[in-house]
Amino acid sequence: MIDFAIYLVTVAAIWSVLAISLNLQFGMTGLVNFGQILPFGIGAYAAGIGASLGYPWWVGAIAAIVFAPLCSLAVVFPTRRLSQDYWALITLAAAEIFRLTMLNTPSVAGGADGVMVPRFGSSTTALVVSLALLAVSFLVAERISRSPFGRMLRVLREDEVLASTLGRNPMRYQASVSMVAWIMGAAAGIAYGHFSGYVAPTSFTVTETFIIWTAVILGGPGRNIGVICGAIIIQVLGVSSRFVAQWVDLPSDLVANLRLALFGLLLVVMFIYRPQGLVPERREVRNAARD
Amino acid sequence: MLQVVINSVVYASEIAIIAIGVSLCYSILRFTNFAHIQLAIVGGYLAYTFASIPGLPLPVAVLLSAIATGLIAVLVDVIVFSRIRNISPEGKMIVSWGVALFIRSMVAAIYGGSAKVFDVPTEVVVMQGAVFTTLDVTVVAVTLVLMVALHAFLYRTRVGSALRALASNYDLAVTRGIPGDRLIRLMWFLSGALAAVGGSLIAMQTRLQPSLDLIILLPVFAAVTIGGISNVFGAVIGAIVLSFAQNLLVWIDFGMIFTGKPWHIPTQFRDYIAVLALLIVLLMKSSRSTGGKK
Amino acid sequence: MRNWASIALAGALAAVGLYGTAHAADPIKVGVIANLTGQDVKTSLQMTRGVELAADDINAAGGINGAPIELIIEDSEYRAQEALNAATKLYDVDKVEAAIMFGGSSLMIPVAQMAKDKGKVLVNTSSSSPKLGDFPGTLFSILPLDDIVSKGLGDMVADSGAKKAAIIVPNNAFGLGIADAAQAAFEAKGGTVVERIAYTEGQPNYRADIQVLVGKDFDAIISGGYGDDSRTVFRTVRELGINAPWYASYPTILEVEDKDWMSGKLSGVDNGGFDQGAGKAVLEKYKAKYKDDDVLAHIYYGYDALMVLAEAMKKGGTDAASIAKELPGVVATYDGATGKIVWDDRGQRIDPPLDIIVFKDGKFETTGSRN
Repeated sequence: MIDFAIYLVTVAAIWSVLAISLNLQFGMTGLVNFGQILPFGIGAYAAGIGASLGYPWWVGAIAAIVFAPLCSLAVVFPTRRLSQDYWALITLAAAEIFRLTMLNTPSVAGGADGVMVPRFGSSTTALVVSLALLAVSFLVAERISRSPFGRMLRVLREDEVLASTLGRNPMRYQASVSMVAWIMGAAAGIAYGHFSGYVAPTSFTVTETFIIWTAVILGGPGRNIGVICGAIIIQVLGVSSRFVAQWVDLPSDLVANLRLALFGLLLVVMFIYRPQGLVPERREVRNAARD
Repeated sequence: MLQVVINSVVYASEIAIIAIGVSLCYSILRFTNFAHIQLAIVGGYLAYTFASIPGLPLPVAVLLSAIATGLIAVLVDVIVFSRIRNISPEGKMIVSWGVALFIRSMVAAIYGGSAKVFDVPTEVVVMQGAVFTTLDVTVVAVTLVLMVALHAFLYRTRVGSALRALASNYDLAVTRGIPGDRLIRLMWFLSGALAAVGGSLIAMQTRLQPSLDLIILLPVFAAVTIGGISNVFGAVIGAIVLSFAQNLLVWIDFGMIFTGKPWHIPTQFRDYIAVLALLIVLLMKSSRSTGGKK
Repeated sequence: MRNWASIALAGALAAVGLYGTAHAADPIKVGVIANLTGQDVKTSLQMTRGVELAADDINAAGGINGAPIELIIEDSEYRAQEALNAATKLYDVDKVEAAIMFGGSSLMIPVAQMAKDKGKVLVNTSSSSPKLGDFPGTLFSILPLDDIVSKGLGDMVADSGAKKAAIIVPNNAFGLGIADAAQAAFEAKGGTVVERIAYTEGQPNYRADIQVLVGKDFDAIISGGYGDDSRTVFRTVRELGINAPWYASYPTILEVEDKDWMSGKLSGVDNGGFDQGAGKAVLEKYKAKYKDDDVLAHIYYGYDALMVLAEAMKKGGTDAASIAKELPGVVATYDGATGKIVWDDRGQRIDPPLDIIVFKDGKFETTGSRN
C-alpha cells in the first residue's frame, strides 16, 4: 500500500510541475498553449535518446534543458501576431509534429517501439527527485508571480496594448516566460522518463495535453497552489474511479466505459458549479509609484 | 492524376460537413467545440440503429438520425453550455472535451467499444483508369447539396441573415432585437444535424467506432483553421486544400523528378502533411495580419 | 475554497480504505490488464473473456488446491500511463503476484519493467516486440515473437513462386516487425519488394496510402494487421482493383471485408493448434457463455495464459518467485488451446506450431503446417 502511495505522489508531483509550467504561460501571461506536452516530450525523449546512445544521464538532461527553451522561441517568435485561437492550434500542431516525428523515424528513438531509459534506483529516489523538482518549480513560479516581472505578465494577459504603452516590449516578456515554462516542462519530462523507464509516442498525445489543461483550469488559473490542487484532483479522480469500478459487478468493458463517462461528467459538473476554479486568483491593488 | 483528384474530393467531402459545424459554432459562440465531432459519431450510430429497422430505407434513417442528433445538440446546450456562457473560451473548450468524453463513453457503453460495420451495397466504377465507387458519388453529391442548401439558408432567408448578424457582432445584433437565445438553439440544431449526416457518411465509408472522433480530430481542425476559423464556407475550402495537399504530395513521384529512381513520400507521413499545411497557412496569416492578439 | 479538494481526497481514501478491509485472504487474486476502452477493444476483450473462461474451468475443478481464483480486471485505456496505474494498483494494492496483460509493446514494456522491479510476474498475450525478451524471469509470452512467424511467411511467399511483392502493414511495432522479418526472408530467397506501405492506424480512409500500388507490377501482397483498419485496407485494395493474392502473418485476426472477393486470395501463417482438442472445447464454452459467434484467436491466448499460471501455482506456490520458477516446467508439458508451447530460456515462445491457413468460402481453414 505504501508503494502505491509513493507511486501516486510521484506521478502527481510530475504532473503538478507540468501544470505549473502551463500556469506560467496561460494563467499569468494569457498564452493559450495547447502543446505543453511538447517540452515534456523533449525532456523524456532526450533522456531516452541519450541513454540509447550510451551517454550518462546528465547529457540527455542538459540537452533537453538547452533545447526546450530554444524550441519555445521558435514557436513564440513567428506567431506573435496571431490571435489566441490560432495560437492554440499552432501549439497543438507543433506538439503533434513532434509526436509524429518520433513515431515515424525509428532510427532516432525507436519509432512506435519507443526507447528504454535507465530508471531511478528505487521508487523512493523517484519520489524525492519529483518532489524536489516540484518544490523548485513552485518556488520559481511564486517568485515570478510576486515580482514586478510577474505583475507585468498579468498586465500583458489583460491588455497587451496597455503593456506596450508602458514602455515594455510584450515580446520579450512572452519569450522569457515561455523559456522558463518550457525548461520546467522539459525537466518534468526528464523525471518522467527516468521514472517510467520507457518512452514512446503514445504518451504524448492530445489527450495528455488536455489533462494538463484540465488541472490548470480546475485548480484556478493564475494561482500556483491552485493548479497543484488541480493536478492532484485529476490524479485522485482517475485512480479512485478504478476502485469504485471494482465494487460494481457488471461486465468489465461496460464498467470501464462508465468509469470514463463519470470522469467526463465530473469535469463538466465541476465547471458548471465552480467555474473560477478551486483557488481563484485574488485581485490585488498595487500603487505603481511605490514599486 | 485523375485518381488523386477523385480521392481528394471524396475525402474532402467527408471532412467538410463536420468542419462546417465546428465553424458555425465558433462563429457564434466563440469557442472550439470538441464535442461536435463526437456528435457526428453519435449521428452515425443512430443512423445505423434506425437503418436496422426492417423496411426503413437508408436515406430516411439518416434523416431521422439528423433530427435526433440535432435535438441532442440542443439538449447539450441547454444542460451544459448555456450555463457557462460567461467562462473563458479555454474553459469552454475543456468542458466540450468533458462532454465529448462523456458521450463517447456512453456510446461505447451502449453499443460496445468494438467497431461496427455499416453495410451499404456499393458498386465499383472504373473511368479512364481511375477507380471509385457509387458510395463515393453519393458522399460528394450529398455534400454539395448540403452546401448549396446551407448557403441559401444563410444568405437568402431572414433567419439565416439573423444568424450571420449574430456571428458578426453578437451584442449589437441582440440590441437590434434579434432573439439571441432562440437562434443559438437553432444553430445547435443545425450543426448537430449536419454532424449527423457527415458522421453517417463517414461511417458508411469506413466503420463505426466510439473513438472515431479522436481520429478525425486533426484533419477536421486543420480544415477549419486553414479556411479561417469563423468562416463557415472557409471550412469547406480548408477541407479541399488539406485533402489535395495530402493526396497529391503522397502521390507525386519525387524520386523520378530528382534522381530518376522512383520514390514517394512514405504514406505514414500523411499526417505530417496535414499538420504542416496547417502551420504554413497559420504562419502566412500571421505575417499578413496587422492586429494584435484578440 | 479547498472544500472540493478535501472532499474528493477524503472520498478516495475512504474508498481505498473500505476496499482494503472488505476482502478476505482466501481467494487467489490474479490481475488482468486490458484495453477495454480506446483502440482495439475487441481483441483485448476477447483475451479477457478467454481468461474468464479459464477461471471458470479452474474453479469448477476445485481451484488452486482448494482456493478459488479471483480475477481483477483493470482498464489500460490503451495509454501507457494508465497501464502503469493499473499495474501499480494490481501489484501494490490488490497484491496480485501475477498479471496477464494485453496491450501493444509501448504499454507492455513499461509494465514489464515495473513487474521486474517489484519481483512480480507478467504474462504477455498480445505483444510480439523482440524487446520483450529483455525480461527473463519476469515476462512470459504465450504468443511467439513475430520474427519467427513472419520469417515463415517470407519463406512461404518465396516458395509460392512470387518474385515481386508489395508490403502493407500498420505503422506500429507489430506491423513493422512483420514487415522487417518477412521482407528479409523473402529477399533472402531472391524476391524483391516493390513497395512498402506502413499505414497510420485508425484512419477512416486509406486511399492515399494504397493508390501508389495502382498500376504497379507485383505478384503478392505481404501483410499483417488486425481489426477495423485491416477491413478498411482490404476494402480499399478491392475498390482500387488490385487483385494480387495476400499472404499474412496471423491471418485469423484480420477482418475480411468482402468474403466472396477474398475467397482463395488470402493465406498465411499463424500459430497453430487451435483446431485440436483443447481449442475446440474453449470455443464451445465461449459461444455458450457470451453468445457471440465472432471469435478471434485471442481467446485461446487468454485461456492458455491463465491455465499455465494456475498449473504453476498448484505446483510450487502462489508467490511470484515460485511461479516464475515453475512456469517453464509447466509449459513444457501443457498442451493448450494454442498447441504445444515451447519456451527459450527467456520465457519467450519459440518453435510455435506454424499452421498454413487459407481463407475459403467465408472462413479460415488450416491446410497444412510448416516446420
